[in-house]
Amino acid sequence: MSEAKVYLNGRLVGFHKDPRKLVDTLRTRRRNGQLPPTISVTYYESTNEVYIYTDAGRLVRPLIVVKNGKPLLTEEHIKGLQEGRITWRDLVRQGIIEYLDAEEEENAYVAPDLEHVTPEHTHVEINPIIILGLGVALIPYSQHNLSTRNMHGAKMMDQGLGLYAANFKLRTDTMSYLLYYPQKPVLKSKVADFIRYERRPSGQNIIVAVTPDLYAMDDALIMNLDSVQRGLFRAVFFRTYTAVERRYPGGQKDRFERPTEDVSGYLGEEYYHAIGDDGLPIPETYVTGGDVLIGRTSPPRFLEEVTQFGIIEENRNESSITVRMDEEGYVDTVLITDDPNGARMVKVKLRQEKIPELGDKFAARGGQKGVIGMLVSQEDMPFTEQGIVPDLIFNTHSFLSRMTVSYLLEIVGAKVGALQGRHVNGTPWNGEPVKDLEATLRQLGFKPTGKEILYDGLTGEEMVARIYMGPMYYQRLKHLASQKIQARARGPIQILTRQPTEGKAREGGIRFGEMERDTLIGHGAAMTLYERLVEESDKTTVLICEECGNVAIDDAIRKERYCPVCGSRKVQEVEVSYAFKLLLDELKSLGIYPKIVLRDKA
Amino acid sequence: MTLPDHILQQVEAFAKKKGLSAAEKKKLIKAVEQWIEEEAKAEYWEDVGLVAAESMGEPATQATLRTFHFAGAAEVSVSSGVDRMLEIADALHKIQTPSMTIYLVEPYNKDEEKARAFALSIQETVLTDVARISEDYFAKEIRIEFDEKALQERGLSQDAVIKKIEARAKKKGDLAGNVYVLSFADSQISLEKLRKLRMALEKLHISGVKGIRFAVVTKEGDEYIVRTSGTNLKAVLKLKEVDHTRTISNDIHEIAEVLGIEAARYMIIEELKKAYGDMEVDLRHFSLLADLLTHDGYYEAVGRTGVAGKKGSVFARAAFEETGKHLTEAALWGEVEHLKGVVENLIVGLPVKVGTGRVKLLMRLGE
Repeated sequence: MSEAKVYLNGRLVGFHKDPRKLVDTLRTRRRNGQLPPTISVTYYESTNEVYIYTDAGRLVRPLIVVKNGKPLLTEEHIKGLQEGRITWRDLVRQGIIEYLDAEEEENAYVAPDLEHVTPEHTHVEINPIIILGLGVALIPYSQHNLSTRNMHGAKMMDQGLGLYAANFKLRTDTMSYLLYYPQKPVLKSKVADFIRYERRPSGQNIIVAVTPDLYAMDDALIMNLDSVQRGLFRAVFFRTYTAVERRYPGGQKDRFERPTEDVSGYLGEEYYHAIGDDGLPIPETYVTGGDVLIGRTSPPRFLEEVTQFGIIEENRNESSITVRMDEEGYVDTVLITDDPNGARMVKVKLRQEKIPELGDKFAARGGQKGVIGMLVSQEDMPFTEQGIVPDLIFNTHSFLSRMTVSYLLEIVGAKVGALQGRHVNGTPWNGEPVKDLEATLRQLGFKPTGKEILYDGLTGEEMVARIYMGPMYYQRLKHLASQKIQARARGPIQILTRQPTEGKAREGGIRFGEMERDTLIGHGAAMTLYERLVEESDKTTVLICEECGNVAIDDAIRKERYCPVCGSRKVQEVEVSYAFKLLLDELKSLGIYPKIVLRDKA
Repeated sequence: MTLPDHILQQVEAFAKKKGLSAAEKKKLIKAVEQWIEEEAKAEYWEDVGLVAAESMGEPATQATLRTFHFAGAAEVSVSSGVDRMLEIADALHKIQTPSMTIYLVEPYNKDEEKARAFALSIQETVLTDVARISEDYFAKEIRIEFDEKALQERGLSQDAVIKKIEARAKKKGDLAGNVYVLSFADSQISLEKLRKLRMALEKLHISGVKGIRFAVVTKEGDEYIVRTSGTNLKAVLKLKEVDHTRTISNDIHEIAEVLGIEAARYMIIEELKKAYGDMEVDLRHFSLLADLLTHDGYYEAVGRTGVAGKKGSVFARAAFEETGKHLTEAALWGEVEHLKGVVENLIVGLPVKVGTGRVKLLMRLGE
């Protein structure tokens, strides 16, 4: 065997005859404390290379060292830790706990827990839960789920509305949401304690009934309207609008003020109702889309013009910040400060209440998400003998292909917690065993399966099936129907093409694309297509010269129509799309003469 | 008009179930024929081209994820799915899995042994199949080490191979055991030429039909047929064992060259059917595409070099690819845009001339 290459932080620094010995020595020294604990040493047998990393930015994680099938961490150590005689640092220094990075994990054989340790193992996990990331570890009983479901669930965790920061009143996030009544989860993972999830919770405990319904098909949810009206999942949305008094070259600058009627671009009296003479809005005023939130005027774009009387008239432009067309709400906070350049800056926070409505998105913790399909009054919802009415109805069919067992276990677990008035531990691998929970439910006089006898809210009759029902922790996600809805009949157009604008913020239309075009052609609906693409888009009447085929001019003042190229007055009106007129212009700019030959329509 | 087989079968089954008499059955078949003639026709001014394109394009998007189901050493693999569809539509000259289906005449198609012998005889053998070649630049030698087992398997003798080598190298070498050495030590041959000769020897054709890398015998119905990997239709059709009325290749360019453009058109349809597999696409969409690909008398691709690039309308060509080129060239030649196609009218902003856009009503007043 030839000598092994030794790389230090990716650079070849030398060769070694006995790489195994090198690696062992380095590791022993690291465990003895002669080398820093975060150094990683890896030997690749296949390529006969040793990689040593000492640089920053590597993710390392602690593991218990195993020697000859026995973990070095003993009962003695644990006792010492509990009594405070030794600390974590001591364990690391003694080489009992070791930090490995992704590279060195290639050389390690890690057992998930003490039971699985064999003489071949080199390390054992401190707790199996640290295999998981934060998001998945927060899902109770996530070890029972498909990994894809846990990933979906983890992704949705950070979209949940809650108390995102305790100083939200002072913050000026561009957008932020706040849940009115965030709650601690009844059934939770131990990890929630470590990250202090209960201080910044992002959901509410609600009663869920699992039963199929037409209005709950394809992941729709049925919610109890009365629960919503009592404040369930009610949230508030803040948006911060910012304006700066910009300075321009030449010493001019913007001014925060209430624009007067002589300012060019003046919007009209009714748009300025929310602001005072200083241009700033009055807190707790109700504003709607288009209202001016921060009054501001800008100096004219070009230097002042001298009027015929010899007075320099400063004609300022309106440059106010208005509320977005699809938003409304109360002015919450007005903040005056300086921007980094020293210019005066105003930040205005708009507050808007968001009550759950049709189309709002909700999710449980196991990746089971859905949107509200119907809001039902409490008297029409099913109820139990005790008079418990579900807040939410979840569709049975959502389980079949997704197999989210954690959802089912959560109902059983949280039911026990609610009945006994305690938190239930649902930590993956270390949670309370489901058998125990079921036994407790039986003792408390409930079915161990979690099923309930329900009565139909409409007829009052007992439902034939027993319905799985109980408390669950649900999150309201930040995708709200009111912020996505978009429609247009008339509205702004683009200057270049004269076609409707695109995008919700620009009051745009929905694109009638190529594939949609194909469907209409496929059906032979030529006139419908014409209406979509021309009449309701960029239809224009252009004048075409009969003689030379160029675009002619309509001189409205002298009331004559003529061709600017050949001077002919034989001019015809032709209806085409403006995009075509633009194409003609572009062809001319290429040096191509597009001559239009006119013929009678027939 | 005659009904397609699968519809005919359904009608027969229905007739049997209802116990119809022969006359009644005939009447039924006639009625079905009439119904198909009336109902299954395209409407006037229907854009059949677009419908065909969408009907073939949509299933193709579904098929992207499931390609390559065939594997295995003993079977001749044929590419299918989106890869094959693209090969056909783009008229690729070098297809991924060229293959032939060779039907044999009696008695070869009934006797497995004879079929196998034939398959072996057409399999192309090059020198590297039966020998290892190495060179020695210092001694100016090319050493050819024969693999006796491979020679035996292919039924070749060492002497015959050596004769071929000598013919190519124009030189006699020395044989020692199974190593044949061509020595150029005494000549003024340059090293470059030596290397070129060595490379030529690697591909030296020893036996079989050129281009056929692999041939296997399979049973189809009650006869034995030969499937090959690699094609050479022209050479194979000349062989006396081959039934030249049925033997085909999946290389459509080859078919067009050897059997003519009508055969190529037919093969395009057959190959498209195979490529789409169990996805149900109406035959008429395939036939329309096949017509389009071959109507110029030779097989050409869709796309800017073929069908789309030969459109009569400037705007239609410019809308597809190379916009600037088409517009400037049209200006140079003084082309006239007649606004007859769909794309042209969309660009200009006029109703497209298909479907309702084509219909013109004239009303006679006062009648």
